[in-house]
Amino acid sequence: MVKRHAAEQERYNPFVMLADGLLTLFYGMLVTWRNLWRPKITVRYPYERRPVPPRYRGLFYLKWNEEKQRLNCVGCTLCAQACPTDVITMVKLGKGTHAGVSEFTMDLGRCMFCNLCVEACPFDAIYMGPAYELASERRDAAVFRIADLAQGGEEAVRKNIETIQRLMAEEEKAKPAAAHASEGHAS
Amino acid sequence: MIEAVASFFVQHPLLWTFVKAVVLASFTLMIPLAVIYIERKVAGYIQSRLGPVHVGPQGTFQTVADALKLLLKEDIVPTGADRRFFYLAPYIAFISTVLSFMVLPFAPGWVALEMNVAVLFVLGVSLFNVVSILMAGWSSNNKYSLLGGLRAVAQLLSYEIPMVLSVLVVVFYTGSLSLTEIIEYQVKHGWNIWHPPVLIAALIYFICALAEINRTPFDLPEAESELVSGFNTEYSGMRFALFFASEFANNFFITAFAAALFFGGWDGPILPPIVWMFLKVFVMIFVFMWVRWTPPRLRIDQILRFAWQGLVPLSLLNLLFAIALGVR
Repeated sequence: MVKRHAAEQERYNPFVMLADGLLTLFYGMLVTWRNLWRPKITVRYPYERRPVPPRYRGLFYLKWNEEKQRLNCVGCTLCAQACPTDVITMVKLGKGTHAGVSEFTMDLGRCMFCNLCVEACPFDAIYMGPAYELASERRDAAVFRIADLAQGGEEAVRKNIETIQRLMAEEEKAKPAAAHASEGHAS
Repeated sequence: MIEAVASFFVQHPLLWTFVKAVVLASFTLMIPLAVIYIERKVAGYIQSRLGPVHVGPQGTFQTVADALKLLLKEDIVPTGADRRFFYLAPYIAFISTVLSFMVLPFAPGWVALEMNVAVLFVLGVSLFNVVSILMAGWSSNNKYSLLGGLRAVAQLLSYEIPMVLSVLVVVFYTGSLSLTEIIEYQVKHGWNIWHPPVLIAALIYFICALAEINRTPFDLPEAESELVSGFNTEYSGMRFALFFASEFANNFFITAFAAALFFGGWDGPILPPIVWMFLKVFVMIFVFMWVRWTPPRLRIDQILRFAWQGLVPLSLLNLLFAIALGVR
């Protein structure tokens, strides 16, 4: 009881309080002084950029298959079906084993970057890339067409259509012969 | 050429006064631009940021751009405001600041008005600033503004006394109320700060100056986290700019006053006097900013108790100490 009283007196001793206050004040001043000279963490954004993490969900891209000289996309619309906000529309090109797309449009004005289309794709065709500066003053700038999305751009789209058309034509050429052969065989 | 101009102004003293007034008023409007820029830089650096970097080299034109923006902004008067006082308050704040600058010697001969009671004059006109704050707080018809204004008055009442008492110690030492004479005394006899009673007086002055210009930890009249922006909450456009300018010009002035009283004003080797004056002022302004980002804000009752129970007795004792040492 007596001890506690003494402790309390100690705590409310004005000189102890003053010394304590001054000490903490000067310690605080030391902390801010040190902070003044520490390296700054600011990234001056328009002039400097931080690297984007590898799994960043930025602008979509359609994967280019160098070996087959075409885009991986076969136009199956699984991504369009998976999309909760109807971002994706596409025009299918060719059919069967050589199926692809001639048009692939994404209206990112509706996109919420949920990654569901990427997860739905069984052909490794659509991915989310590192580009993130997608804001614009125009509404139609949010609509990205196939040339904007394909890896390799306009050139890749052209080659993609060429390859698919060539393969389809080859198949078409081989088909009547095969059909004829099988017909002949049957008769 | 210079002689012709000089003789012209000697013949027309009123015109010369007008020129000096214009120069001083412009200086009072311009100096906040520099002080605010430094403030923002120091604040940024202490918080591991860079501060303004975008406008001009190293962001130096940022405050100029801000001032231009404020000039162009709409001037809004809140409904139910006491219009006369609402309009008048910023001008009183600004005029009180210009008046204090009037008697401040920047360098030998660089003083707008040589006054033999300059110290008394400064302590007098700096009071007007608080009158304007109360006017602004009262006339805004806003609870936050009113609370800010009331706090400003309570704070001034408690801090003006120890401040005057600490200035009085310097006056005792130098035997003059003229700022020019005080500085010239220090040029001859060494800075006042080296005398023990003046050192204590300078510390008291420093604390009171923080309270006088409403800076953390005594920034109660404009405590952002509780009073929105305090007494100037309802102000916008150029009137707000005037309040802001007068606040930061006051910041400059109170350190310049301290430099004149304690640190020998323009006294210093090699560099020209005006440079020394500004050097001392900006070092002290830096310390003010440094303090601003360190201790948290006090409560109003803590502030008043600290003033009345701590600083007033201390400054009185210090005055007795100075007298006991038998100066001059």
